Amino acid sequence: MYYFTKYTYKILGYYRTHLLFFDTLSIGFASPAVASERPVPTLTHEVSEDVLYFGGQVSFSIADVLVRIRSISPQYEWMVDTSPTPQDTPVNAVFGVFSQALPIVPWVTPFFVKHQGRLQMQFTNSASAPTTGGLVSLVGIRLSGPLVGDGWSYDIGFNS
Amino acid sequence: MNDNTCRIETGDWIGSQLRGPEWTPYAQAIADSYPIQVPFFLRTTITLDQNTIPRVAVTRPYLYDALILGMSGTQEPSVLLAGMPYLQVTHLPSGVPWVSPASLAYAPLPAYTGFPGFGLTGASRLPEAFFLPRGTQLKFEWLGFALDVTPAVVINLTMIGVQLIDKPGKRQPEWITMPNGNQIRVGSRVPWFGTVPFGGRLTTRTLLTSNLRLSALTQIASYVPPQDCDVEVTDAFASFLDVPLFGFNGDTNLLQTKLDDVKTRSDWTPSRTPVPVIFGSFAGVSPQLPFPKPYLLRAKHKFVVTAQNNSPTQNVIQGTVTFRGVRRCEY
Repeated sequence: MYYFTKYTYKILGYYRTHLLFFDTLSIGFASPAVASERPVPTLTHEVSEDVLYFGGQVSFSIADVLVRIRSISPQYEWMVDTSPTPQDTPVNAVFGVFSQALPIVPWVTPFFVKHQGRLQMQFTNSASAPTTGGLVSLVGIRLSGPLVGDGWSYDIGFNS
Repeated sequence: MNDNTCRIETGDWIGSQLRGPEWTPYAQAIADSYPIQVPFFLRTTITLDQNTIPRVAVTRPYLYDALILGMSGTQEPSVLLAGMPYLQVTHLPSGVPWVSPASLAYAPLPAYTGFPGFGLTGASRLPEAFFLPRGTQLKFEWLGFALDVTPAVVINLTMIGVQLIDKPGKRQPEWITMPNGNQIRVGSRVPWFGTVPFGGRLTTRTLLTSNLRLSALTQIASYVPPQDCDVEVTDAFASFLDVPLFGFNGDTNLLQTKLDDVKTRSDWTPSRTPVPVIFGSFAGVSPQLPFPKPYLLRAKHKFVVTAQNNSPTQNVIQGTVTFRGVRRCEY
């Protein structure tokens, strides 16, 4: 179900070793639940290797929980909307849940994070049926043993 | 040679909804020109109520080129409680609509997104990636057809794709090479939707009440009109399966259909076939049920959908079927 584009193969080709990686994070929705709560952003763990994130899963099936994802260093915004006020993305477009045919939603393209880099996920609780706690798990590949220099980077790009 | 047997430039292949976001050769060829590729989620929201339908929304121009490969949605109240809205998508600068201007120039939301919400699938793949050049907009026209909008229905539509990032000022590619060696213009392959009624119109017509019906023990034919370009038809969706509110509460095997390409007389189905054999349901793992290979509907050809209801008591109300595919035009 994961799809490797040529861009993905290009990145993988810069490393000798590819290791599986699962990163589970607490979202921290309040208990009792608060409608439309925006807890502090959830950050992925810092990892000593470069990582390709392929997709993820949340621990609840409430589609109007919202999320906005960006990477930190370099900063890429994943989400765009049409409103002057931020309209984050319904979580079912980004993550799967255990009851689905695809419990992990694979992203259209994996996202590369350099070692010690992080993804920031800003969740907003449901306005109509808020949940408490909440976990988000990301699935990826750790990239170690760079074959060229420090490995792949956004400076190199795909068609360098 | 029968032109319907020739190989299609995508390699005669239709990806499964279940197997993840497989890229089409067209999408991969475009993305090959860009050094940086980042996930992309473009969200719009709309509220449909009795005072404001139909509604139009446009996306905001974006900094980078993008490929739209799939769509996801949410709807509150759900499809089971309120029925489903219909949508037309148009790329504003080119003016090319995704839904064929047939008798219904709109396609139901699940034909784009699958189940709106956390269903078996969270998103659906489009039949072909859509290249959205930087700084351009998509227009969404919503219609509350087959939708109970009391008091209102809130819909979130998320287009899922990839941002294609390059050095500032670098021009987007104009031509790409497909697997068969043909060079085609970027933008010449566009998602295509053809929606036709599964039944007939009643004599009175309003937006919000039942105006399409396939009564018990009747048969009605509908036509997908001729297109100005070749179309690769890849999969199909039926709006009335698994939606008792507006649909059919009986044994769906009693709903049968027959498909024909009118100009070439090449029958898709030599006899009548139960609807679920050909059309997917929004509640399934493949909401848009793929064909074994794409069907090449030549320009100026049309096909006919014969709808037959063998149920002695149940009617199909507001039923439509949507064929999806790829429109191949040079603009």
